[in-house]
Amino acid sequence: MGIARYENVVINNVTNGINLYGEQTTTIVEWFTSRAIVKDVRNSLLISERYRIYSDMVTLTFNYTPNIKQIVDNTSLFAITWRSNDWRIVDVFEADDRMSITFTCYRNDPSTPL
Amino acid sequence: MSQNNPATYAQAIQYQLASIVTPIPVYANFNRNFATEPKFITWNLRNIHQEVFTGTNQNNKSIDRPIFQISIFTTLFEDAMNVSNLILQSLHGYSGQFGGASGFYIAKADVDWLYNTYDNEIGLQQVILDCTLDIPT
Repeated sequence: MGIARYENVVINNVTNGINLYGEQTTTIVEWFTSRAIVKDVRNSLLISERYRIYSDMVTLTFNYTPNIKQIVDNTSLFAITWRSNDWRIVDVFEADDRMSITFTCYRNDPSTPL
Repeated sequence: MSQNNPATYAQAIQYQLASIVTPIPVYANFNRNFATEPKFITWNLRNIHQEVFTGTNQNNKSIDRPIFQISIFTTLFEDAMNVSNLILQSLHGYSGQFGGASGFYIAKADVDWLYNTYDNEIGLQQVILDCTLDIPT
């Protein structure tokens, strides 16, 4: 039997804008901090002809709260900071008893020269 | 005449296009949110050239006649046509302040409605226009 592993996370708002030159910008601003059950930390590596791409996945489980429900409804508008990295939400699982919500989160490391 | 600054042009084009077609978003080059935006416009700048006249004086230059391409992307054909008309009516033959308060004066804007097309990959209608500016300094 494993141990429940609670870790600190930061929930961020993601806003897309346009700068003076017409480039799209992404602004990430902290919304609130929380603690999530962390599971299934998984790092994977894809080697293409010239680059290594490290992509990481993790599963975070939160209590079912109004704020977390808001994230479920608009996953693209939120990002999660965990271990100082920026994670985006891929999949959402709402528990049928409405006690918890589980996010599968994904991030890419910057591509690394081989 | 001194050489004009392309960075100033870029900001002025972005400002002017955005103010013409608001609330349709305007971007420099292609943007990555095409899947969620049924209408948007991108622009590219080219041919910034102040002809240099004979002489040892570096400031012996003509007016600038840069061209910027406007690409209209829409899901509906009708929208593409209507937005292109909006830009034509507003820009073609326009003379005066370009790019808002921090912009510059243009003697003339000349819009060339080039062609319309369809991008199969992203499923969007497109209209391509060229706009030539006459910018005295």
